[in-house]
Amino acid sequence: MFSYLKLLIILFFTFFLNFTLISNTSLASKTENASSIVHKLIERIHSIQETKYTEEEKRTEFLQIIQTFFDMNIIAKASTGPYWRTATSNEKKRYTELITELIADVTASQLGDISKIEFQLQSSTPKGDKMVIVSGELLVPNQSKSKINVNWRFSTPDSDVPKIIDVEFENISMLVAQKEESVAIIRKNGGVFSALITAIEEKLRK
Amino acid sequence: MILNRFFLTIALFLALLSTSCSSVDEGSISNRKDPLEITNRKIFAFNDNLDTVVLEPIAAGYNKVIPSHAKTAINNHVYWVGLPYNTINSALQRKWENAAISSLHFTVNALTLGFVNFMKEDEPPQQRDFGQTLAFYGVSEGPYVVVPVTGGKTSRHAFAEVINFVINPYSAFKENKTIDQAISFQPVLSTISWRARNFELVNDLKYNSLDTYAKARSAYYQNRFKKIQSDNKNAPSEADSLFDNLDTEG
Repeated sequence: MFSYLKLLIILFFTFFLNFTLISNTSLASKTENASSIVHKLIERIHSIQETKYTEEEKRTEFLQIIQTFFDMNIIAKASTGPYWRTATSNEKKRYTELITELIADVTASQLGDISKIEFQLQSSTPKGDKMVIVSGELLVPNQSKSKINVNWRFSTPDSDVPKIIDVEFENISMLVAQKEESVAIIRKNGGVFSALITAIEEKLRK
Repeated sequence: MILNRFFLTIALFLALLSTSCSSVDEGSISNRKDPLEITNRKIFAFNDNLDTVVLEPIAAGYNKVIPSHAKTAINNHVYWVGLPYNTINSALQRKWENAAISSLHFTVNALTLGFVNFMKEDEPPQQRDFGQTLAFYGVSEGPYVVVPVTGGKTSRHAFAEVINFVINPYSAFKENKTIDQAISFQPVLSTISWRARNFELVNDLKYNSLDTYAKARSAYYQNRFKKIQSDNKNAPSEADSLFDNLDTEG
């Protein structure tokens, strides 16, 4: 009887230790993965900045970057708040395409003409078990503010590659700001989701 | 004289609030914190035009003409001028260490009127304003109001700025005409310096937004939240709440 109890205790502790070790290793690998993805992203931006692209080529390159490194499905869903559920599947698809293009356009106009940005990693920390936040400073030469605090929020599902779902500059979440804009536009137009699509199409045409 | 100015500013502020309240159209309000949205948007459009016509060109010229070390000196001076407010508000919020550091920085750098920061190797004091002090004592933030020229803020923050303006620690020097003129120029100098420092960020907000007003309001609230919650690093941000809710939204 006593030896059974002893065996059970040993088995329990072995299981507990293994579980703790595995989950810690998995968390550590998620945080490392996320920070290495940020470095890859910065390298890709460097290569665009160092190559003489036309404006259109630059825009295409940034579009590819956004599609590769960002989870646009989550971003599209989160940036429309409660109105996502009111949209038809065609509207959801169109909005996801347009918001991807809009982000690429804005990023190309912000970063395309800068000589070389750098990222200094400060930390990579798990946020719950499905997200990681990579924090650091973005060094942007020849700009009025040459050091910008930035947090990259990653979605880190166990079965997939981590992808960026939000970027915070100086503690201001771009996704939260985008959501407020989207909701304001939809509300101004009587809750019609397609009004947001029209607004982005107009913005992209300018 | 100071009291007259105080009551005049309060009266103007309340008048602004009451006109705003009368023109609310609930149907087009996009944010529960912003019941005065319709009027706020009009004042915001005025401020935006003012920025385009006056502040943006001045800030662009400032960035182009002023050498970087001179800009650093001006930034240092603007920061130094704010330190007495910082000390008072830190003390009111019972952040004694911050109050002491803040007054130490002020005293040491007073030698050059703050243009040279002798304390740059040290950890700078946290910024504490009167709006944070009011929050510390449980005053609620109130509705979002856009004030002509100075921009959008919670009514608590707007009221705090009025108080900051009225209770001027430099009024002791008012007998000296040169110092008096220098003090009068402070708000202009700090506005230009701030706009120039954040030139690309503000222009990005102005020219790359779908709805500049909504984005500016969001940026303000997020930034303000971080300041008010600066003692509670674990307080969930709006982005945290957004992702918490996302799982359940389906």
